[in-house]
Amino acid sequence: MTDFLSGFATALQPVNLLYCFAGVILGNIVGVLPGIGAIAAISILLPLTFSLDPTTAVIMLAGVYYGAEYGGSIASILLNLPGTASNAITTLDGYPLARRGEAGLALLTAQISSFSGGTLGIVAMVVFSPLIVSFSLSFGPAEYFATLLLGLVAGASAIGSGPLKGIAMVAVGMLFGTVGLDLNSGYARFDLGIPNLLDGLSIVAVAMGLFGIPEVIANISASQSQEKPIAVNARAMYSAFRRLGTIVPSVLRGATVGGLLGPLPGAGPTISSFLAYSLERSTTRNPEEFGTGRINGVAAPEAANNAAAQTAFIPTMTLGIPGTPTMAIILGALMIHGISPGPQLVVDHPDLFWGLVASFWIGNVFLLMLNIPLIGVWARLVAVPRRFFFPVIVALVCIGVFGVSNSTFDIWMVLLMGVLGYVLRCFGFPPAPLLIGFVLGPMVEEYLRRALMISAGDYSYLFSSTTSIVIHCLTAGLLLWSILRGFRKKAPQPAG
Amino acid sequence: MKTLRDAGGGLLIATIGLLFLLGAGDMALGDLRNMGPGMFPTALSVVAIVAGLAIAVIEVLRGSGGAIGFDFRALACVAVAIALYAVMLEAAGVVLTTIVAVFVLALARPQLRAAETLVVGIALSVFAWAVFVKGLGMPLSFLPDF
Repeated sequence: MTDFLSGFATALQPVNLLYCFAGVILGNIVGVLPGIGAIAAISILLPLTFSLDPTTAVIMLAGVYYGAEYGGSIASILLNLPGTASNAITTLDGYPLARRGEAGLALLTAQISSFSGGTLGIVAMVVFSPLIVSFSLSFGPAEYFATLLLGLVAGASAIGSGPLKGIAMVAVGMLFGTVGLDLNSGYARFDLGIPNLLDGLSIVAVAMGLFGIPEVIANISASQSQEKPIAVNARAMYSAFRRLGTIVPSVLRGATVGGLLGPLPGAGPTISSFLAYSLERSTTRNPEEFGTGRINGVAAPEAANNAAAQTAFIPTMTLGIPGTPTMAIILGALMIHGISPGPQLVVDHPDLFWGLVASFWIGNVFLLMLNIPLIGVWARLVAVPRRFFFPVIVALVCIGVFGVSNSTFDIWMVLLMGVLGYVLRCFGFPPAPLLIGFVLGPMVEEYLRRALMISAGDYSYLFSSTTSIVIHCLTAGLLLWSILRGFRKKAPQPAG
Repeated sequence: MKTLRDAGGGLLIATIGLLFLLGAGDMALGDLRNMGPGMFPTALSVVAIVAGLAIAVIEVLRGSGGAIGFDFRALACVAVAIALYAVMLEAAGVVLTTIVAVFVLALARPQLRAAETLVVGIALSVFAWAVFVKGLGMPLSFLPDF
């Protein structure tokens, strides 16, 4: 707890406060705009953060991530278009509410629930992170290998399009990860004689190419729906305050679901929001009211996705294992700054870790204070023609990636990854497992080879501790579950 | 032809795997107890090839219809715009590159709004120059160097 309070000293420094503010506003805006997600925004911003102090950089990037969860509900409620995938379920009850003239109530519920969910997620992070750190400080290469393998399998199986496509994409991502100097032997792998490839493919180029560019291509010629957002009256929103008592249990249930699922690799905010909604429906006496505009149907998923957005940082920061592609990019940002996340990070850079956690809460307060008066302004943003955004994204991506190494090589890399990402997307291959494989692959190889070096090639060393056996069992169970799920013909399923 | 379209995604994965397998050909494999630099890439290439081919077979049997919503014109315009940045940015400066790229991107849409595109191009290039060159100190010029 004292660590957490001391984090405020870092987070309240003017420069950190400024970038936290900039991050959450930007996140809020990309959240409001359907079609541009937090992950594209973060990968585009990544080069801009290189000149910053690592703490400041991560505070801003994280702000974009959880800020988008706030903004996403606005488009869901007013336009019936989810701003981000994890706000999709909010449309079910949010939009009917808005149609009934209760947009103010729905928006206020979403914002208050987001704030409460986020706050509870941060509390979970403050309580559990030190426990996980003290537990994982004893991890050797075998335990790390087991945890990383779990992350890879989770990344491959969390998607909706079947485990085979996930495995294929993870394998391709890991192959991309092998490019460059092999740390153990000093052998240059797949460098094609190009010096730029010796350091490996740049995560910025891969992430921007896979997430930013296909988004632009897929939306550029699509005609924008001409639907006007429903108008909101700020006064109606304030008068809705007294009706909020009924959402408290929904918020608590939603935040619990989100807080528990957030740290699991591959689960994340989207799945949390879907589960919270179905839990909410199953705990009520009249489930048929859901989908017709019940505020509990807005409160539970919004609390869940915000809680999950915060607790997702737990494994990323304490174990160095990203559960979602966004976390993989934030991990990459830290590594570019020369900081490798893991239990040592919390011990060696307490100011970074606790400063980040403290900034989460400051950012959540910012978002709440900002969004309640300004909701009308955000809603109007949705009506800006989308065609203005695409040239901006392409310019930011190309010039930004140039700045990473001051060479045009990475622009060509973005082009290659963008075309590949778009074609794969059209064939129904999601990019997230590829990125997770790309980030985790080199770590898996390193820990496996290190473990085998320690044990002189004895594979039983990988199963020599209870911890690693438990983790391997989880991995096997997850793999089995996703294969079985693939056989069952799926009902309408959330896009993971 | 239809079969090939259904199989496209899986075959693409398998092709990537094959390219990496060929590239890994001259790396020392080592053995499972003491892996060389080639072990991981070779194993992963095999996984990618097998998974890719399996996906291709499944999609053909299912008749999945291949790529959904593939828009060649948008893909080409975005790809050319990015390539323009790669070729021109260092020599031609931020303004000229951005304006040309904005026009190429505008070609992806059915009708070209020339005046609007020019305004977007100029505003965007000034913004990019202010942020990246003035703000972040990137070694790029505003106008062509020659």
